[in-house]
Amino acid sequence: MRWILAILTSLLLTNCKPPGEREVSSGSTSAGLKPTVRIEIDGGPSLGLSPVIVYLNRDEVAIRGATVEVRGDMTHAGMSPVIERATEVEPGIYRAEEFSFTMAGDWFITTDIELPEGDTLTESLPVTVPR
Amino acid sequence: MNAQPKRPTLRPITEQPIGFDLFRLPGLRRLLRWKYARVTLQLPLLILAVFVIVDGFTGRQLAPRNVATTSVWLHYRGLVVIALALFGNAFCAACPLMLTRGMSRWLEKHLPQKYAWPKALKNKYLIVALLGFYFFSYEYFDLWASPWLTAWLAVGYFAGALAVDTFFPSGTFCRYVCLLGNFNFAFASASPTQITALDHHVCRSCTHKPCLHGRYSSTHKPESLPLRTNGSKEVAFIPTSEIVRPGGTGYFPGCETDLFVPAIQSNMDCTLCFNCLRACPYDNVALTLRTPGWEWMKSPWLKRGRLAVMIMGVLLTFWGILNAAAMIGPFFGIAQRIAAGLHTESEALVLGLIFVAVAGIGLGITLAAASLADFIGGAQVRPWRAFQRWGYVVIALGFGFWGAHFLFHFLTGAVSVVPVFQHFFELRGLGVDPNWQLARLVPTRWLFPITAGITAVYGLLAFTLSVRIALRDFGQRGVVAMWPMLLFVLAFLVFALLILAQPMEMRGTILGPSF
Ligand code: SF4
Ligand code: SF4
Repeated sequence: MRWILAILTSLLLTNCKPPGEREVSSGSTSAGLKPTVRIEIDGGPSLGLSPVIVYLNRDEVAIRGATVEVRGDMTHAGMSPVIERATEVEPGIYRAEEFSFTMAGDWFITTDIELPEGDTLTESLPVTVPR
Repeated sequence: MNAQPKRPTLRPITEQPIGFDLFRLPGLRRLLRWKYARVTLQLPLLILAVFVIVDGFTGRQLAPRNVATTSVWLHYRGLVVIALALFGNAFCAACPLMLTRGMSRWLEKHLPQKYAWPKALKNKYLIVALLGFYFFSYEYFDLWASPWLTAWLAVGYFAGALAVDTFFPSGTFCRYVCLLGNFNFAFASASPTQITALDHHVCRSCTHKPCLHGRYSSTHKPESLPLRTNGSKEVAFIPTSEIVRPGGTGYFPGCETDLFVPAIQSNMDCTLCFNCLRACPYDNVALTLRTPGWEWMKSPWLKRGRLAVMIMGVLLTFWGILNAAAMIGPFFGIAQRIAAGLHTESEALVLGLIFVAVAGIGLGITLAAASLADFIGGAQVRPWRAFQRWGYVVIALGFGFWGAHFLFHFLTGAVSVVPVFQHFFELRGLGVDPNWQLARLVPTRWLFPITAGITAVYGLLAFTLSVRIALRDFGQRGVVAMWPMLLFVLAFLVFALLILAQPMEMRGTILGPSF
């Protein structure tokens, strides 16, 4: 019991602030300047089909050939996420055409991106889906 | 003393349910009389608590992907109501918070004395206040959406249990402070089991009442005996040779929440710790099957806890309605209208007002319906007395609604436990690929029929209870006296079903936009 408490206490001392998740932009790139990711929902978030568009560039130059997965999580535990692969429709523009919100409320859209050189990148966008 | 206690032959000390004793299931009595039985039950939840705290603090801060939020707000709550409905207060029985006892005993040694819990707090009013604060915080801070806050909540519980039980007698935390425990106590009134004495005649001739005070057993009496868990006096020494199924030697604590087995008529304050079973030298304690809600007809809270307990139960019911309503669209509309009317953008103010209003309305309509029923029945109208007579009807409705609500979430995402744990290990470098498609236990279209069915079953129980209380207390006049409560039940059911029929909408803030 005591060693469990000791571990938990040290965890607590390093956790006086929640680790960031909202507006997360994380990952590593080997090609110097970090890419810019912009997430948009075509027509704004609404119940049902809401295609997600991901704009990907580095220093204003479109990044082609990335692998982009779009994932929607509700803020409540236990809800199935919506996961869609986005396809490149124009240089640096990726679209998850079939992305669909299954419930009204608060969502986090997360894009997991793998750049052509193999680096990975994650970006999140919180959205509220109206009734 | 007879080694094999028989069924009662004399008038019982208190009327208790007579049914199958679950301890007669093969091996169960022997297992639970074992000195380390409780620790064994607590270990799984302790391990889960460690996962909750570690992932809550260091994992991804997305509720559906974190062990803290998923296991606490989805699985724990769902399994609590399932256990209460089908068995009893199983989660208090396996509560890992009590594992802080070792440390509190060590800390105690550095205190000049144990303190007595203040008399003014020896009731459930502190719980009522803490419940109000907790439900408010749940909505205001979106506890359900924050793994980090959920982990802090778990840590707070451990710290609270440790602090209270260090300074005050053991059992104080469970009885007067713990919100989870008191939720379980109130709704274990619906459970189909209860601790009883097998033979009240044996209890009558039992000198030391170890089920209450504890006992020390060994072959020879030691020079000094331990004090009772409340520090009041030495426990009785009973040699091992006199014990039926000894289950070990040493100190066996009695009931920390001061329940005396042959007098128990209610599950209120019973943590199912089975201390009484282990402490009873004559193996005279049973876990008896009873009709669900058996105690509602016995008005047991008049003897234990009285008004404060009933207020707690009724408020739990109405705040339960609010807790579910806060997930549907119309609630946000009402909140926004209140905010507009008050020209405020303060979510705390609007939420606070809603909580106070719901508490006032809940207590008000229960008091009004109960008083009217008493008046029609011909009793002298004393509103709080009427409230304590009929309040059990509201408790039945409350349990049905909480059950429906928690089960909704549980059925929606129970299987997500698999990918969430896979993700826990994936994040920490183990090559696991979570299968995020696992979530639902039943198809979505089944959810409304199931939750509505549960609400209706407990509505029917509340209906029957109203009729039985009316006929018990008012004889023939009961036929008319029951109507205010029957109409109350009907109105409650309509309202509850309306809420359950709404599409769920999970929002972080009530005054939007959410981010
Ligand atoms: S210790 Fe056993 S026999 Fe004695 S009063 Fe308690 S239940 Fe009855
Ligand atoms: S010791 Fe008290 S709280 Fe524990 S099971 Fe027995 S009656 Fe319930």
